[in-house]
Amino acid sequence: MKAVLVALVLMAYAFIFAPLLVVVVVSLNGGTVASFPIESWSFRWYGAAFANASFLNGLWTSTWLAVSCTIVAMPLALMAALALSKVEFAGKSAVEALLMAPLLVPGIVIGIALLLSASLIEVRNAPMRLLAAHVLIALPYCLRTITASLARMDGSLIDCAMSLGASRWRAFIHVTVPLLRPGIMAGMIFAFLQSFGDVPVSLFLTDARNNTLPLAIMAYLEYGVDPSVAAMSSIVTVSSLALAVGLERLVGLRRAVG
Amino acid sequence: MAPAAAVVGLLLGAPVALLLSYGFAPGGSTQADFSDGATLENYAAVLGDSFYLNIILKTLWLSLVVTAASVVIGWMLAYFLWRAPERFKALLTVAVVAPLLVSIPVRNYGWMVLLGDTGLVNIALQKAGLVERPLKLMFTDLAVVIGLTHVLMPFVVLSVMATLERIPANLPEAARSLGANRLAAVRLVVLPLSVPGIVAGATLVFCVAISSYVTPALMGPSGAKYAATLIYQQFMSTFDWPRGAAIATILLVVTAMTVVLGLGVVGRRYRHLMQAH
Amino acid sequence: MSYLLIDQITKTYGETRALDEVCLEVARGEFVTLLGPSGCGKSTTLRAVAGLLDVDRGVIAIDGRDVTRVPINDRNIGMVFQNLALFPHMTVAENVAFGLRMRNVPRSERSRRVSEALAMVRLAGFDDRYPHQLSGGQQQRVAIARALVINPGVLLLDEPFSALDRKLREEMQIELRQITRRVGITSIFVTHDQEEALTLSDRVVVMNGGRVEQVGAPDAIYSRPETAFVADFMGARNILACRIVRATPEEVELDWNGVSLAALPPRNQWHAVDQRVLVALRPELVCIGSVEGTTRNRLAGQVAARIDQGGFISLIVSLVDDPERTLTVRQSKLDETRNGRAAVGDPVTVSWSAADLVILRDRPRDQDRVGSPAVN
Repeated sequence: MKAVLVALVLMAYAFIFAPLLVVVVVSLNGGTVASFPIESWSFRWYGAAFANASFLNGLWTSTWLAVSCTIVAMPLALMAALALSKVEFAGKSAVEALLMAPLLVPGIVIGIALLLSASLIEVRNAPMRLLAAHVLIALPYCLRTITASLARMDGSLIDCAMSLGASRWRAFIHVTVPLLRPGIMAGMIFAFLQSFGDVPVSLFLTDARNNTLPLAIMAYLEYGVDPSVAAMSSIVTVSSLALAVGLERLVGLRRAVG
Repeated sequence: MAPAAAVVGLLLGAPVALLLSYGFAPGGSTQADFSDGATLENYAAVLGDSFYLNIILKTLWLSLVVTAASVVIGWMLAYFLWRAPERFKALLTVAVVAPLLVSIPVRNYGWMVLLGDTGLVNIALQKAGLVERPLKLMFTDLAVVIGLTHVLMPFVVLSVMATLERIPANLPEAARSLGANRLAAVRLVVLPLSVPGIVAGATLVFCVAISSYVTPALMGPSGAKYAATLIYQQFMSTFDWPRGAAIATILLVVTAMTVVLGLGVVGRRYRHLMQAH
Repeated sequence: MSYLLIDQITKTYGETRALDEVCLEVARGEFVTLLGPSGCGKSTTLRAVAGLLDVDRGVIAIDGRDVTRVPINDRNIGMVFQNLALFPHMTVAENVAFGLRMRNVPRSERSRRVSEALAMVRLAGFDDRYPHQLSGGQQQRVAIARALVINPGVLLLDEPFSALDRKLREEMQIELRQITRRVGITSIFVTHDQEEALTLSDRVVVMNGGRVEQVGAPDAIYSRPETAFVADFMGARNILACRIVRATPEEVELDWNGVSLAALPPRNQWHAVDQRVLVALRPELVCIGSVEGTTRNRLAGQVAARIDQGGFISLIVSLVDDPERTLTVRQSKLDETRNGRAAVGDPVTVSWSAADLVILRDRPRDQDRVGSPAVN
């Protein structure tokens, strides 16, 4: 009985990792087609990936977007989390729900809603549109990890600090922030990854000059399947997984994600 | 807190409201022209026309299949992780959850390679002599189901694991002490108590699946055969924004109903189970 | 013929020996308690008997049948867990019926037996309630009913009352004993609370560090401990290292730092002259002042501390013959008023009768302890 479970579980893990591994394998294919059988091994597609203008553009756009929106969203989330934890007021749960809403609303709905709004008020500046949208996406993820960290923090530590003479501000700086650091960093990593990998929202807001990497990859996939896309994908996969492990070390992956 | 709320309100609340309004505008363009008043013609068209209706129903049906598959695989993994020895638990859990953070097109691409005509699966089948010509696995509904299950199943794992961990370890022991073999202990004690987690996970998976764009676009048959790809088409090629808005609104409503149903049902019936000793 | 046989079971976790050749024989219908501090192996022993863990060596037999390698669900045991482990998603009746269901008892007989079991624990009519709707005591009784309805060979209880308040605990103890006597079931009970052990049991097994220290009737454990651990655990914490001067069938004469002590010869122990032994003495059995007409079992000392414990007073007396050693004396407040209150610093004489001085099996180590400042 136990053997059956173990066998099934192994199959499940194979199911999870097969596509990821295959991409890496294919990226090392010396041939010209991203499929099997593999005749020779080579790193050349990695070079090709980095020579590809649309990939580079996508990489640049996705990176600055993810970094910027995280930097903007984190302080907002921090303030909101602190406020929510301290104050009780009518409608508090409504506000909490509102702040978490971007998680529940389907990405595609957010995307087209923003497209409609942007065109209505005639925002032509694609980077601005994208940044605003990504801040919206990033916010709940930052908020969730910080809230979780706050909940686990012992509130009496602040009282203690103040009893020792610290002002509210200094207690915040010297006690709260260091204790929240794992939650803040986890939130930033998580938000970064969500923004970097987003498709449905960005789909409607990009223009020719500002395209995100996932979208560039998708476009590439429609045309051909040469392994340079595999190389790019492998890089994305490996770095995402590495960041995931970092998240696990910081706050525990399960807390960050769900 | 106010800035954050303002951001969300401005960037989400208002635009969504706008979107909803577009659904009530006459179709055919990228403008919402209310000069003749609001109209339900988009909804009538979408829900009345078998073309649109079929797409929506197929999306719902496939999402149900994905949900079922995710629940089965996910529950099994969650149980395994719950019972796993401490030493390996963290590593094995990360292995399941980490792929959630990899961009979806990248994850789908792997399946494209595996399921393509010259993909690993077909090559293996041919080598084993099971088929003569490659099976058409890619660009089918099956591929979409596989891809979506792969992407969404970890959510079930997380949700069920959270519930399982609230079960006192000696409940299965008590069942066994009363004569139940391992299978009966799981079936009669662990499974019923994990239902809240199953429902929460299933709700999440279903809601994401019905509005999923990437996987159907990459791995599904060409043309707009699914709700999200249909919406995309309405917005980016047909340029009938009100109609697209109407379809999106339907999706939103279905999502909201599922959430209410799932969490409401779970909340009420199982509230007493959530009170741990 | 023992009904439950535990023969030299051993269980090792890494470096630690959780069970070290534990042996025990339990007669049919007997109520035996495993008693000891945390980590002594009592719960481990119980779980081994239940089949929740596999022993590395040794044999466990129930009613003549070797169950050492039999899985838990085939051993026909009934177990009451520390936090009850009632199934929250089943009604009281469904909980109690579970074991019968596993044994494929037909439905009509099942409901009859469930009703009987619930009546036996005074919960008739509670069939359709859920565990979370019951009080702590009621949940306890459901757990007991569930374990007993299946007519198990052995009833195993793992500190079931430890979470209850005192009053409820005492009620449950009485009820449990009534039920086990009426049904005549062989029971193994685990606790760290000595009072509970002494109240409930036919026999008590004191365990420490994975080993059995002593097995005996409650009175024997209490009054005639055999080892220093048991003596200390059960409160006889005045322990002195002595040398045997003379041993006759009537009494044993000992020497402690030049002072002459006397004790009754213990059963089953054989002592030689000049042998060094440990003796134990309960604080309650030490008197302030001299016992008439005796010159032995008397020590001179000085009151070092007086501790008021409600109904009792404990005095820590430092001994003249060895100022590093102290003796703990315990008397009721009533006795204290009768005998006169001793203040800190007063010189006192302490004495006891030979019948109360217990010779232990242990040999003294170099740093032997005599009494301790801590009071129970």
